[in-house]
Amino acid sequence: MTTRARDALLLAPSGLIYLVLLVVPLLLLARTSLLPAGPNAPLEGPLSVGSYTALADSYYATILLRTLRIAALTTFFTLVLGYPLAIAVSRSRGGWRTVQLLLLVSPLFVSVVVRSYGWILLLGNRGLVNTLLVSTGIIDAPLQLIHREGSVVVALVEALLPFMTLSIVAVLDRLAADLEEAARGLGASPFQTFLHVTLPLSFPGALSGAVLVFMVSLGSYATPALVGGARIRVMVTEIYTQATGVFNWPLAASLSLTLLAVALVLATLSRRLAK
Amino acid sequence: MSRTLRASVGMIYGFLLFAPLIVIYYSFSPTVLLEVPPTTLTLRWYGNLFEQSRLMNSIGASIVIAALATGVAITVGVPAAYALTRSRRTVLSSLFLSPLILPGIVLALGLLMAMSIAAPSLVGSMWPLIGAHVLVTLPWVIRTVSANLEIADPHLEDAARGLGASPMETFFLVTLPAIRPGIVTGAIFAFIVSFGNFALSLFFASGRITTLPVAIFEYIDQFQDPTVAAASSLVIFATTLLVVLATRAKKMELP
Repeated sequence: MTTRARDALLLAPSGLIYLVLLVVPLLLLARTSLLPAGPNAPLEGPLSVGSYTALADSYYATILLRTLRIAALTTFFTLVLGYPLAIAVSRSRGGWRTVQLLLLVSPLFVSVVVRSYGWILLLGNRGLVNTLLVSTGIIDAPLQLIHREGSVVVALVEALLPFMTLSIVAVLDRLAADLEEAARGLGASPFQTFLHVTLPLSFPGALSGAVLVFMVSLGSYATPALVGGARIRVMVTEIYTQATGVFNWPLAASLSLTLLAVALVLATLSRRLAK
Repeated sequence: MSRTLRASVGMIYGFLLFAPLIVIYYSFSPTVLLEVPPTTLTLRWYGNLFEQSRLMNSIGASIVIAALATGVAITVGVPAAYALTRSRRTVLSSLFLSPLILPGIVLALGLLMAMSIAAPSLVGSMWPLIGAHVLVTLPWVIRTVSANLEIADPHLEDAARGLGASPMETFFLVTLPAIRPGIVTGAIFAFIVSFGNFALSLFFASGRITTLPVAIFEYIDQFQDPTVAAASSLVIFATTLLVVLATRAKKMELP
């Protein structure tokens, strides 16, 4: 049997699954986005780009901008926090390294719904922070901490930090430790060593982590829905509302494709940047 | 490691674990208010959990769906990972891994549209949930198994073939034992990812059947008491136990 025939046989079952569950649905989504939009819109009619003109509305422009801003801030903060963690992991050995990796991976095992719930318990009007501040008399009335863009970013950073850290660790592990030692031996301060040696050499890992975190933040639903609430609407929560609340499937589809297009363009650009 | 680095790393780990820990703390809270320090600790919310039939049923459904999705993902994912790594098919690889980064709501919306056109009778049953979960677990299996195949020595396979083993014998006697850790890790990840997945279950949950994250989401919307904290804590305990045991038995490899 030739390699090509063998590969075809091995790839056929999963290929079929991807065709039925991913490729066909996305094509259908693209077609639906070209149907006339409106509440309870039927899934037929003349094809046009009509539903996309709704995106010119400032309401959707605001939502798209907010989605991008939240994703960008999340990416930035995971980078800032991910570096020290990654350096600590890549410098430790044996059991301590396993413990750190477990600590890093364990949040991934807790459903994002549960972790968002944790942030509500912490930041809500009757949450831990407000209870403590009011009972100690520092403030009189609860602060509005939840349902803010900032709290969504905080919750997303917590959820996605492990992805960023593991991406940087993967590169740092392959980086020769003697390069850093040489820099130190030649009189560079730890900060200079980080800035001129560690940072440039680990850039590919940070970049792939950044792309991953950015894409996953763009697509996350549970965190903005629970921590952001109805006030902080982002693309995915809007898509969900359009699809299940008003049954405007063409608009939900065009919003989906816009989000996919933005994500793919940014991912491609950053891949160019890496070269 | 310098003291500043160690201190900041400790604080970041604290931040990372804060949300799950506060949920566990709240699950033992005597009242629906979050008290610090606690007056007493109680297990009553764990007791109440067993009376919430929608939450309890959703735990069972989540286990069944995660197990079926993992089974399918392993069965079709291991051969696919083999072909993808050994023949270096990068374009196909990125397609197969794409559900890891594509927005779950968008994937789910596409699936829902396809289903309502092609098989409307399936809406509300368990099948769309299983299909959606296969789509999100398969990339995890392919990724962990591929990583394992990358480091497994392909010359061993050549040697086995040279010594007269058939392709089947080579795969089952040489390749499979070498990538077993990757398969176990992939299966554990697939199960946990499916068990915790929310975005792809949301569209397909119905009055009759739902998964645990969706049931938790609905419960938070309606009630404010620590019952879901108890449900979440049970899940956290179970998964931590599973992962620690698997790591200790050296059956699972951390990334």
